[in-house]
Amino acid sequence: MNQPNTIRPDRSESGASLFAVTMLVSVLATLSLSMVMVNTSVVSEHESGKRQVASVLAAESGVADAVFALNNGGTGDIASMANPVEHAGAQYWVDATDLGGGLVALVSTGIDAQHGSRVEVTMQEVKNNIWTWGAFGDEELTMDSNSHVDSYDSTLGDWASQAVNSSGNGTYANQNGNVGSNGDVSIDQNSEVHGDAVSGPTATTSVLGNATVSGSTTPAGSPQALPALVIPSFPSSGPLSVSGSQTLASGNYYFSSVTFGGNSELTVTGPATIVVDDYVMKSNTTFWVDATNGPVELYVIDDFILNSNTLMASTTYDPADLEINLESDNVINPTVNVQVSEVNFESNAQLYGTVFAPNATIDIDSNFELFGAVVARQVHLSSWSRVHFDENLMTAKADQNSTWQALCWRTVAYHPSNMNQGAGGQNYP
Amino acid sequence: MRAQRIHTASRRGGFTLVEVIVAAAILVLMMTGLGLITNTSQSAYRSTMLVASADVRARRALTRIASELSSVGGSVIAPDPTSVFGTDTIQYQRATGVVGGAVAWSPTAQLGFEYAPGEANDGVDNDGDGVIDNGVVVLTLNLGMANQQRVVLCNGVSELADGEVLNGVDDNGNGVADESGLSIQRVGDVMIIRLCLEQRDDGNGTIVRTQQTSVRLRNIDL
Repeated sequence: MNQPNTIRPDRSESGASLFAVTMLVSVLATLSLSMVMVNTSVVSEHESGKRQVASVLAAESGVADAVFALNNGGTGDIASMANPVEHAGAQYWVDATDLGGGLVALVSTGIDAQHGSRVEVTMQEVKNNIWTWGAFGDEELTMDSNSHVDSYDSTLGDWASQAVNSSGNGTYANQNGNVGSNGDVSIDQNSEVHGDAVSGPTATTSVLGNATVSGSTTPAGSPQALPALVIPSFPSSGPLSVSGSQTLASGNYYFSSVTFGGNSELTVTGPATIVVDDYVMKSNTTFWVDATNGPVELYVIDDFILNSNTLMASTTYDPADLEINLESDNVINPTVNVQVSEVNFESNAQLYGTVFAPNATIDIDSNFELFGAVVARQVHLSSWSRVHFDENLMTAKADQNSTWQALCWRTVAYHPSNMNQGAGGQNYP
Repeated sequence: MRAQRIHTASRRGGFTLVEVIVAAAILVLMMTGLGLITNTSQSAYRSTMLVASADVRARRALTRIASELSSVGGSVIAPDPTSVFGTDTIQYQRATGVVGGAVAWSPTAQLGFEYAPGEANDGVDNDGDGVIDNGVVVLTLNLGMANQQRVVLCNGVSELADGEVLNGVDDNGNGVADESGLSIQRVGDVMIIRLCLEQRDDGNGTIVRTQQTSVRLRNIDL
């Protein structure tokens, strides 16, 4: 009976503490909740910003992808909205629109969750202009004594018929046989350049003794860009040994090697694209091109050897009919221990065509005669070698190896509702 | 038994003066403690809020500024802020596409620091916000045209960047000398933008927050 009387006062006394503690906890809880909410808001905004940046990066990656595709012959279209490219958790696709006049609009859309970005880059085609040089060395060009460069126009007849002008070392045709380099140009005694000799912007052209340059020796205003060399990929047909007189039909081929036996000749019917690991022509052999229906492109990955008295030409001797591209790298890098390729253009041989070797030193031996043009990492013209630049190449090969450069970059408003609109950018808000 | 029970209840129903005083003292102490804790918490909360708010405002403004500048052309920036002093006001045009084979440009726009309304460059807190000579970042579109638009991207911008003094020297070691609270500097094809916000907090302190971003100018060669 006494127990209720002793409990009741205890409950009454604990009420004040409970109230105070409850108030304290409530205040602290409210403040904590507010701070958590603020923090959550900040984190949410930060996360939103990260996703927005990720979508921008995805869109930029799409542009890079599309530009690479353009420079390798593609249209610039990359994936699609329905099937985008995955990119580090985000996605992108690119719509390309040909605007005409050598312009292509690339509209790249990047998406990360609900965040999207869109950029438009208008690309401008830059026509290949490397075939304005008779001889060009990216790093350097040297001409030994009595070497000679001039020009002629293959559409008007052969070089001999146009070489009616006299000079110290014989005759020459026209004076558009330009030589150049992004580095130094060195022209030794008695050499003749019937055209310009142009060094790189910060390099020099040296003309020794009585060597002559009919044109300008002013350094270039900007470096000459060389196009990328892209080797086609075909199924291997194994090695090809040429003996006697053989023919190769029009088509695409990949040989592990092409070796010419003594006094043999191979006639390739164009259009044809031939990829070879090692290409060797023994002395007194001939590579003919029947370009009635199209030219022949020869891609060599490693060794390229033209022994003395060999001939490479089309049956009409038109240099535009034969294009030789060398991936070969015969420049010894002291810091890298690699097997270098062998590239030989030996004496008394003749070649009617273009030679493009961005990784190699082309050393043209004495009395070698090249009708067409040569562009390489380094070019050395030995004594008494001859380069007759074909002026027709400037138009015949102007559309080849063109590159694309950005003309205009801008952001385009991104709305999920306009994702289905056509490419081109002009119609985007 | 009954009388005894009533007597007991009566004796235990009241408090002595000492008990009341002690209880009141304890209650006062508890409430004081509670008040102090609450005050401290609220102060910390407000500081956190101000810092967070300043960071968010600066980030939003920088994002907008970077977006504005990303497509400007190199030939249509004035001044070109390549010097060590950078600039706090820049006029520019943005590429809007290609028309007839040539790049089309937007009307001239301007980004810049301006003193806040009611504030002046006089070393005095004219507007009474607790910060001297502070300003705003203003984006002006269609500059000088009939349809000119003026947008305040951010307020509470300090007159000078944190740690900087007008002495021709890079006092804060960020590569720019005597820069304002809004600093725009170009290094190569990259535009570096710094924004310093300053705000008086509830106590006697000042909250200073600086954020920086950079953007590559894609049309810098144009």
